[in-house]
Amino acid sequence: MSTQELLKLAKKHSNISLTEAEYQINNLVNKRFPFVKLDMSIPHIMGVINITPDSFYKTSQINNLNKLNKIFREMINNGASIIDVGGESSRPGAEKISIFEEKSRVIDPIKHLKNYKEDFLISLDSRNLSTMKKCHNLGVDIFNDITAFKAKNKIDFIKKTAKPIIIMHMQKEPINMQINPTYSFAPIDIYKFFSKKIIDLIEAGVKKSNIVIDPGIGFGKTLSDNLNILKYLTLFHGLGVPILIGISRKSLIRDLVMDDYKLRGKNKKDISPSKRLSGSLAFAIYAYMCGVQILRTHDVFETKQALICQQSLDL
Amino acid sequence: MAFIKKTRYLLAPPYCKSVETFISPILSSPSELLDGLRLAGGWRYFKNLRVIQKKKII
Repeated sequence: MSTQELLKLAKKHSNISLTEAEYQINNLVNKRFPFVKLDMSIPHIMGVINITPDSFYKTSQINNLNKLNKIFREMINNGASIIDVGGESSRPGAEKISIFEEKSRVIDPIKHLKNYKEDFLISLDSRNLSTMKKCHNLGVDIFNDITAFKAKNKIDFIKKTAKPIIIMHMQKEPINMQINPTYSFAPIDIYKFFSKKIIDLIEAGVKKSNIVIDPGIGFGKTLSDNLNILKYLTLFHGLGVPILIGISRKSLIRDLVMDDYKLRGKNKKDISPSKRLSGSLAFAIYAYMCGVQILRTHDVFETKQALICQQSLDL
Repeated sequence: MAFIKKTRYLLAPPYCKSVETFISPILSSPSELLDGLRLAGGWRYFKNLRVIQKKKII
């Protein structure tokens, strides 16, 4: 159905329907505010830095400043606009670590990154207020919370500091999120979750221009839920805020190729996270074609190259 | 698990009281869609929408 047909049908029904239809279409069309200082009319790459010993993708685990320097340089030189630093793994089944442990992992790397003069933003991937407070003092630019700032004291902190945030959807907690996740229809349930969340945050004093949403691929979702979210990804533009997608090397890729690999007699190692780059790039390009503004990835160089190739066809 | 039925027609008028209505734009590049609307001021354009309707539980 065309936008004109929708408006015509809504007008025929009632003025209230017409107002709602116009509001929804305006949400799709309106130019997004810059996020921090990033122009949201072009795609951006967020590089993942895991200061953890147990993240699902071993190559991304960083345990010393030399490796941090090397990976950071590669990411920035290859076009990352944001570096996402996390000290706690949120892979399925991961247990919560102490806040002390998380802080001890991220503080030095963030201090270190702040010394660089390059033009980039640092986001902190954390669900703990205490870690957020500490890293706010260190000059972190963005807070990325897998619990979508569920706790009131976190919202109060965000309001007070006026920091840009990324809110992610997740059912339950990482330790149990993959145990029987349930939705009526994942894209709609998650859309409604964000719709309410954005209203709550704005009512609490958070600026809409400071909000980015992340549907949370792989966080409390079955394969079918993840695929439905991706198939209906453009739905989320109706929320009127930029979208971030993190799909890099996730188990969704393994689940999709597993049957084909079994037929070919390949073993488990062939679908480990280190072998999921091609699938990650395919989904990154799909997300770009769905107008997603921020692509979160472990592989900045490869993602940037794929983006440039795709962009050349859009001209 | 919801039952998703694809039809060429709407379940009810858009945004009426008995259904929830959601729209998902079908995107193209500017070269393929000269008279389309620009999505979020960005690099993708659209003219057509997938309309999803869900009966409201009263």
